[in-house]
Amino acid sequence: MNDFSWILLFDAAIRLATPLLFAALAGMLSERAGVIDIGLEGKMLTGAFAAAAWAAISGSALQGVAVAMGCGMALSLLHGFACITHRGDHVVSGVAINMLALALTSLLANRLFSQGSMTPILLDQQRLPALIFPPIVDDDWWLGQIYWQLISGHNILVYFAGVLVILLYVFFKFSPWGNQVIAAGDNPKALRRAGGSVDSVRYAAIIAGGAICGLSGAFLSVGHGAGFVENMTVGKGFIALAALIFGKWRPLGVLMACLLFGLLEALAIRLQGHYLFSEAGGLPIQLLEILPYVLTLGVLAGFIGPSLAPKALGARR
Amino acid sequence: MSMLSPALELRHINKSYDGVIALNNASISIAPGSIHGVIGENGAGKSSLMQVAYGLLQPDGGQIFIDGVAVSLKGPSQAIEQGIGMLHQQANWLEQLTVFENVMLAEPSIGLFNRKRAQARVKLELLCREFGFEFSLSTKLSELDYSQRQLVDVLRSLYRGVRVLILDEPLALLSPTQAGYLNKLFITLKLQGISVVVVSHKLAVLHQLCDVISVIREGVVTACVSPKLVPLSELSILMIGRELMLPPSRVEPKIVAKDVLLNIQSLYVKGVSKGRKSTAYVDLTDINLSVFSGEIIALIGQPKAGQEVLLDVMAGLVKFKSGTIEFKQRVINSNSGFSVKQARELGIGYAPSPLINDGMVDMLSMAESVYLGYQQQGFGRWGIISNEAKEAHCRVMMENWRVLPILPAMQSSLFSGGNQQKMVLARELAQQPALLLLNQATQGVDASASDYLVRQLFSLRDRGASVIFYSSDLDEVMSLADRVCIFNQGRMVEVIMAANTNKADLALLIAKEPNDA
Amino acid sequence: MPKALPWWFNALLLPTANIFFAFIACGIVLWLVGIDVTHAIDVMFSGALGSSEGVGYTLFYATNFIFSGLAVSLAWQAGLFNIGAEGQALLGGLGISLVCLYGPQLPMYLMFPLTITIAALFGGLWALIPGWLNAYRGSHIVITTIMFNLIASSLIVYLLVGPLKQPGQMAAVSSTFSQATWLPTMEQLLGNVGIHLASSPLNLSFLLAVVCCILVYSYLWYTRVGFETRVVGLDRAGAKFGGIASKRIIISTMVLSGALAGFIGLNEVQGSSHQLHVEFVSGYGFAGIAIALMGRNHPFGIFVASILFGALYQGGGELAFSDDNVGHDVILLIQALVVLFCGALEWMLKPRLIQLLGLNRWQSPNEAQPS
Repeated sequence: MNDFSWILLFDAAIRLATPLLFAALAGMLSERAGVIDIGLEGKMLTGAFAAAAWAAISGSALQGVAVAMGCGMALSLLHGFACITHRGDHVVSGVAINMLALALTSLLANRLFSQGSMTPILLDQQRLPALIFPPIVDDDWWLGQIYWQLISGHNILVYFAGVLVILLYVFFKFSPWGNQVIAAGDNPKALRRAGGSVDSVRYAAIIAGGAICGLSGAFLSVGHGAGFVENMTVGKGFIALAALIFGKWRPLGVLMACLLFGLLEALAIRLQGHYLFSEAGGLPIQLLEILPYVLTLGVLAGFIGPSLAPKALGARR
Repeated sequence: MSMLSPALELRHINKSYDGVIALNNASISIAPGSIHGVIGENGAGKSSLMQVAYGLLQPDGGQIFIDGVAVSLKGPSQAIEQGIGMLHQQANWLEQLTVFENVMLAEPSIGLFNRKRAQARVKLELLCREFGFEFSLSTKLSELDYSQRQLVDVLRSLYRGVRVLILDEPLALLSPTQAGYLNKLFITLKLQGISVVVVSHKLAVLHQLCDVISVIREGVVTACVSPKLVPLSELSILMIGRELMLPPSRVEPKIVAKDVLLNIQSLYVKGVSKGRKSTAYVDLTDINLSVFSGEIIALIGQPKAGQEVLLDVMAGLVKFKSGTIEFKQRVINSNSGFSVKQARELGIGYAPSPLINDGMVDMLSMAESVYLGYQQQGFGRWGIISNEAKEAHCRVMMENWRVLPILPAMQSSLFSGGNQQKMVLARELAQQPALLLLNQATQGVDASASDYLVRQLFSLRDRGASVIFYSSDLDEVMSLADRVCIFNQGRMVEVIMAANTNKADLALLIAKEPNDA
Repeated sequence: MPKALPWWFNALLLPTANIFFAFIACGIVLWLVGIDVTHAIDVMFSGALGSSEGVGYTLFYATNFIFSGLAVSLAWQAGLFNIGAEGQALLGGLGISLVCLYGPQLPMYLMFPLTITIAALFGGLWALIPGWLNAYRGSHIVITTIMFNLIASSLIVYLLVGPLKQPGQMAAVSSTFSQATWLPTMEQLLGNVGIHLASSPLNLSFLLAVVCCILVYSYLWYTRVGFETRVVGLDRAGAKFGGIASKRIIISTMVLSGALAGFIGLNEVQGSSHQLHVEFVSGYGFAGIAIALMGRNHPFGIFVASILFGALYQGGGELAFSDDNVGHDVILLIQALVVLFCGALEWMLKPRLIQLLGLNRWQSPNEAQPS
């Protein structure tokens, strides 16, 4: 185990946790307001495609990110139209959005780039830059190692995710609009009786969530990755949902949950060739893969603390 | 515009949904600086009218005037702007937020760091001191009890400059001390020129407290009286008397009851009182009741005094904590459990309250709904039955009870409420139960069907079965019951032989507060 | 007295209008993307229904849709949104593969019932835990079934790169089953009776699918348990009043639903590919949601919707063949739009249609109550 660097592991964990974090935070906004958001996967995928496609065509990753956020918001608007305005079933709408996203991104990728449902590989200037911190510490000793590997040098969106967590924490704890979102999800009757508009609050929350979820996809294709591949999210949206539940719908909890899932994924990749998990060794790699899912089931079953879902989540009224 | 304009006036309000008329040309006028009571039976329209006044419900017709000026209220925020505030009985609060945050919910113009927030805090603290509220602004709502939460709502209305404060059933879940405090608060508000509108079932309290009382029946405000001029007993008659219908004539029992069919001892049921549930109920303590076969017992009391819970317990829907129920020589205590299925197998039939309508499933056809609770029979040994048989069975019931249209295949929710209730009763009676439980059975049922029901109950009784029913119609109680049990705040405070009492006495007994002499 | 909307409004007119809009929306998207819509429709139509081979393929795909549509709609009748058909189908296929590879070599009239039972067992088992979690722990069935889908995926991958892998192969597939276990195709069956069909993978399981439609219909509307299931789905309080054991109904319905999904394995694995590979379900489970919504959760509607989708699949396949840039994306798009219009937006067209037909005075039971 001597080539096993914990610091590198955590470094990878942060990177892998970032898309989950964005998506989970988006879901948090939506669900705290009372709208179930199964469509995280679809919005992530659409964001990934939009960012990559725009970056490939226009050359600017930043514009691509903006477009990704716009697409996320558009899908959220659709979701709101179905669920809020027309009192449709939240879950069915979310499933529809996922299917729609998968179909549209594949179709468009095919038509635009004729490379079989993927965008061309993006060059460095078409991706988002990493942020290198100023050299205030030497990398000889352990603090320096942590500084250089773990803290500095991540993609710019990673830091933004961290900032977002703080922003949302403040939002829910201290700001009156945060209270309105909480009311819309926990007790919409009370909000209505106090003179607020439940529908407006919900629309605002899910549109904001849509933008953030678009960011999640953008990170995958122009931040961390270098282009869009068909169905590149492969269930990350659902893991984000699991992280949301595991994190009990609170910003800090969600952060912890995403880091945990990121760590598990990093471990899985790291240990892939390792003795314990090699073919001859014994334990299948899939065990690590399914750990997030099993954990989620545990949370849902109430074994890992009570579920603190917003009380009016998914109510059609 | 004149000095004598009512603070709030609703004229000719009409509202119906799903073809059912909730408000039928209702008008009410609230004078400034008065305490105005609103009384009426369940389903008469009190809540609907108040919701229209607060903008929660959009009327189909009619107008709203505030200080003599016509206004249009699209939602509560406009009502609040116009100085109307409303306190609901349940589910108003966000438990994890503080008093300050609850009061400020949806208040525009409060930002995160601006001065308005600090100013608001100061103003709220002044108000608290002025009205003697004892909680601090930073307490979480979850730490406050029910009466304190009500005061938080009052505080919010005061902050927003309320001039007409509407309270929907504020007294039902309060202890006498807390209720007394609230009454004093009303008077304080009145002295400040704020009108207080109280919707309540507590006739005695309203009679003492209010300047004016409006009576609502079947969607119309039928009377507007001054308590100083009208005695309490007449109030209740105004509210529930059916002047058009003569009370059904009593039929004396043919056999004198001898065997004890049902024996309830020291029953204790834990209540549900958290603000969320609309079916919240009080604890039932120390219930003792013996029922002979061939007896008809009436349970009466103010709504939510516990009589409905007792019916639910006997039907197996609600679990009890301690005590025993003995039915047909079978002893049931809290450990052995008692399910709905067992109750039915023992021969207990239950017609639940038509206002909640759990006895019918909306989207099933009437023919299928007729089997709810009795699926075993409906579906034969192999669990299969033909549609024709189902419909034929249903058709017979519909003919007997005159339920129109005679279309067993039609969805049950499309029948009128009264007809649905008739079918519920038909279903239970067809089973020839040993004990029949009825919860407000004649609500919404027309005169001839009520008559048919009463006759059926008498013949059921003559065959040795017993009936226990809850009704707020004292005429009905007097003509049906052999014995009357009066409930108050979860206790059975009195049991009287029907022969030894009359309607007026019963009305007074119901209105009596536990602390009164 | 409130007058009812005629029965055909909700059962026929509204869903047809919704589907119509879904197709129009799809056409618009395709036109925007630059695909020749009329040409596409032409190719798809002839590909699906223009030849007896095409019809065979259409019905073959329809079989999968019938099973997953029935699975989703049966659970729906109990008020449960079973998204886990993908995973349940995978498990069904796994069970079938185990029997075919390692089980006794029986004649087909014994083999088929055996595989049916095993598929039902495996699929039902996979739905049991989510059902239990929902009934006794209140866990949201959507999330638990999605989790189980993902776990099933991992499980199958593990098995197919490990213990079950065909020796000497690079790809993650199992060994091929012996011919004796193969389900006879309709071509073979009807050939014995003298009817000549074009060659297609349409096989015996199609008949099972039809039988299942009838069974599910009879179950829901003619048996006591089916009645209780529907009550649980419609009105939990009414179910409690009726003395119905809601928790038991929820669990047993989920198991039945999983069993139906498991039957997809019969069509695909035992009837067509004759070996287990990772992607054999590939979306049929999710399509079941669209099918159930299109068919208004009624077995006969599901049958019709399945044929339609089967035709779309087959036609789409032909389209992919002829035009490089288009293919299964179109199918996915239609599915997505169907779920959107027939599911999430199911009531959107209602007020306008009522107005259009002059049914203004008529009341329907689905109007939401004010707060």
